[in-house]
Amino acid sequence: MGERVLEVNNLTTVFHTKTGTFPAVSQMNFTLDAGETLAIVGESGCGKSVTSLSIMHLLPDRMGEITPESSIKFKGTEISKYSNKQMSNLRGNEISMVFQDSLTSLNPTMTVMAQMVEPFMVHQKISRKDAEKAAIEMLRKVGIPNPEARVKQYPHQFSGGMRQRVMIAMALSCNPSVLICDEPTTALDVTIQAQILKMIYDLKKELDTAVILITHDMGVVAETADRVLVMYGGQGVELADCHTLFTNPLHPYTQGLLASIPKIDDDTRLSTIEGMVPSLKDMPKGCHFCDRCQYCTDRCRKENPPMYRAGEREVRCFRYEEGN
Amino acid sequence: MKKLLEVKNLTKTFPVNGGFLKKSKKLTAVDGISFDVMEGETLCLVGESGCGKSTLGRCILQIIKPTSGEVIFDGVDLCKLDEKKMRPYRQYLQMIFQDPYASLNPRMTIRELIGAPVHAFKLAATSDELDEKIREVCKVVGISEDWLNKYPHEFSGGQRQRIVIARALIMNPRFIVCDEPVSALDVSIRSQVLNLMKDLQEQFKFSYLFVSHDLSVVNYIGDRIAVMYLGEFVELATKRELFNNPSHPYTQALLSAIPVADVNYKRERTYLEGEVPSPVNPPSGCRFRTRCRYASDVCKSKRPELKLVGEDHFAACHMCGKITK
Repeated sequence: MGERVLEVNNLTTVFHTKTGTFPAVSQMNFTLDAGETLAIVGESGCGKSVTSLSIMHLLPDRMGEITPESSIKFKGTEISKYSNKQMSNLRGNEISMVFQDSLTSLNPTMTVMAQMVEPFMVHQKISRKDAEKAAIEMLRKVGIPNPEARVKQYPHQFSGGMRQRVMIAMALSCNPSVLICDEPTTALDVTIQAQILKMIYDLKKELDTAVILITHDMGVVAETADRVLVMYGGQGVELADCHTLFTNPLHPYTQGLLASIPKIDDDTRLSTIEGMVPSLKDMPKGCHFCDRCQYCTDRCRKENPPMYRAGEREVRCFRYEEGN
Repeated sequence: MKKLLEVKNLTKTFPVNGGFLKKSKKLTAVDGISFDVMEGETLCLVGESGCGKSTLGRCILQIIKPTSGEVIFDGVDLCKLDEKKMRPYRQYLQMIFQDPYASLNPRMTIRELIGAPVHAFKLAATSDELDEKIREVCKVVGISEDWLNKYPHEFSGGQRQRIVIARALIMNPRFIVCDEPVSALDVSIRSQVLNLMKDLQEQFKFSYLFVSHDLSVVNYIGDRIAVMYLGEFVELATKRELFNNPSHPYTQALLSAIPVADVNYKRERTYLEGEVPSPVNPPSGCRFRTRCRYASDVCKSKRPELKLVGEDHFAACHMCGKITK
């Protein structure tokens, strides 16, 4: 693996609402090396997107706040306390992001060209003419046929898959070290999804970019990720390399999650996780999963377990405490 | 097994506005589809967005009036009935939609919502009888009684989908069209709802037409599967046949494109080139030919018909049998 590009330590993001302040993400720890794909998986509301928005400093002002003890290190530099201006130099240049909904991410009143040249002109400070050439080159790279003509069109003239390609082209245009993809293929059909995922994989290899892939689809994870971070209730509950996680999940939530996915070659009755995800406002005091866990003990209800190290992997469960 | 429903040559075209002084064009969403639904079976429709699977489901229930074709239920062609004559049949033909947030009126309590169809069809003489019916159906789908006086916003997606299922079930339906019922739900909740739907079918013996884009869900719940592409069936087979022995190149590509949540699952992946053509102006002959790697001249000129290629297995492809997987 390459150099360490991102190191997140004890990341806690709180939201201020009318009904009080509560953490949307707490005690997140993970690292990211150049050239690797880290998948962050979890169900809706588990804090996957808030984690990525915290790294990018894109949380809504006054509502979301990264707590002072959090640390986000990008290539060894602490960026969690960066000002907006300092972040602007990083965003789109060193760290870029691709969102789920490409139609709302692109400006409908500007041609694709007008939006594509921006990152080149702002970050690389090259002339418009050179930027236009570079933009066309980028579109060719992501597999848009006839880019010279397509680039003069508006976003609505592109199909969903093509728009997502444009988004990825824009995100990669300054050759960033980290690419965060927030559910990049959720809105797309499976055959298009396969195309896009393959393209992200090929480009990642070519440019040696580190990718954080946020998704809820375990199938996508199994096929694209090197390492996987499973989230539940605003916390990471298990971090392991992809193969180990799927063959030998440790955390009860990961086990339940994997067992409840319908298999393509097996239609025996699905096992389920009883109950439902607690709302972030009334998260249990102890382990966040305790109300749905079959191994729950008194201790689980009282204390929130830390991430325990089990060899190369980490798991947030008392059952894997040292000596157990 | 007995036939419950017979669909013959069902077609639905929508006019697409061409604009001022321009002739309006025709969009054929469902193009001459025929099939049967047996009693107690689950027939699944899969396909990508815009292939007409939802329109087909709605045309069968006459929510959208089909342009031509027949839907025969109990020996009666539903397409020929007017709204008034159709009404008695509506009781037996129910629908579950994808978005449980949009399909429940936020101003009604759960009791009112579940009781509404009983009211509309005057199936309960007294309010005690209505209460009894509601309580019974709640027990079956796992809704606790203290939910009944609450409003939809107090529930999560999975719970709401249960309420929607209860509302369909209270009419004693014989046929339920489910339009992507679990697509909006999280994985752990999805399995609860899928299990519930399967249990209910076993208990009450109704049939499902299950519309979905997710082949692993379809594999779990379905008995037979129909694959749609641009308004047509390209393949129709029992679940085992379809997954083990897909004959149509589109089905093969679709199966190979699904991400499988198993790191030990090995396969050769075929990537489909390009995107689905516009249904306003579909390709001549076989509609899939523009993306098909086996396409030849005959595909351009002649439209393939669904033909038998195996036991209970139909496919619409000229090259069937000539191609190897």
